[in-house]
Amino acid sequence: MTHNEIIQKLKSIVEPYVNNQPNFEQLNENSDFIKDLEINSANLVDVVLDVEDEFDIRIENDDMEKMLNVEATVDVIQKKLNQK
Amino acid sequence: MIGNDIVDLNLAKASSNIFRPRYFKKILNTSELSFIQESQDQFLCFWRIWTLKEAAYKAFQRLFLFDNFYNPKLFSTTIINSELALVSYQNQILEFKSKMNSKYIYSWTSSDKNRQNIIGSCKSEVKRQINQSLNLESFNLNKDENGFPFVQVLKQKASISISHHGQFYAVII
Repeated sequence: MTHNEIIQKLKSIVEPYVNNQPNFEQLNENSDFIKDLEINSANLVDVVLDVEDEFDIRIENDDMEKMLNVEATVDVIQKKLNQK
Repeated sequence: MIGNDIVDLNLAKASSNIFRPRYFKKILNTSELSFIQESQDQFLCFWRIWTLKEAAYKAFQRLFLFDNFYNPKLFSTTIINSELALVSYQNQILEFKSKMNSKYIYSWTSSDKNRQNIIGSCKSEVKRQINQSLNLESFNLNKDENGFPFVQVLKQKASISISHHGQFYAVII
């Protein structure tokens, strides 16, 4: 899966949890889930679980720890897909 | 050292399904998980532990100045009674208090007993209450270079902790 394909899938995963629509429309690698997209911290777990389901991967807490922005999340997904 | 967190229970109910598979396991350690499973009200018990973990994250970040990360499991909570709890992180333990009603759950810690908790429905209402209770004519809410909020009155600065969720805005000052 290409980097862009991962970002597109991630974009649709985060959409239901976003509280800042203008920043969501401008979503890019630097978008921070909490500061920019204003996703509630309790919903970050949902993002992680939805990512697991969508990409059929399992994410340990050591990796979840970094998943605060698009770039870090794409890196974790890519790493897990490569391990499959 | 200060840290606080508030959860609007209506919003929590509407926006999170905490009972979905694997949700608890990402956030809770085994003793927290069994504590919740044995409790009368798993929903309230979960959200109390959640506010403790979030408030602890803020308090410990002031102590350790760590970069932001997302791993609530690393903050281990021990519930003492309906008001008191302990949270440990990296061999440090802090004592927390919680306040619950049908609308919200609020947890906080403070090393200074003279601090007050102010809870309102929006930022301007809380600012008004701060004005009244501290007799401050005018003050500003700011953030320092580490991102920690503080109030400034003339040349005096005092650190504060802020939490906002749904209908509620809480400040420890």
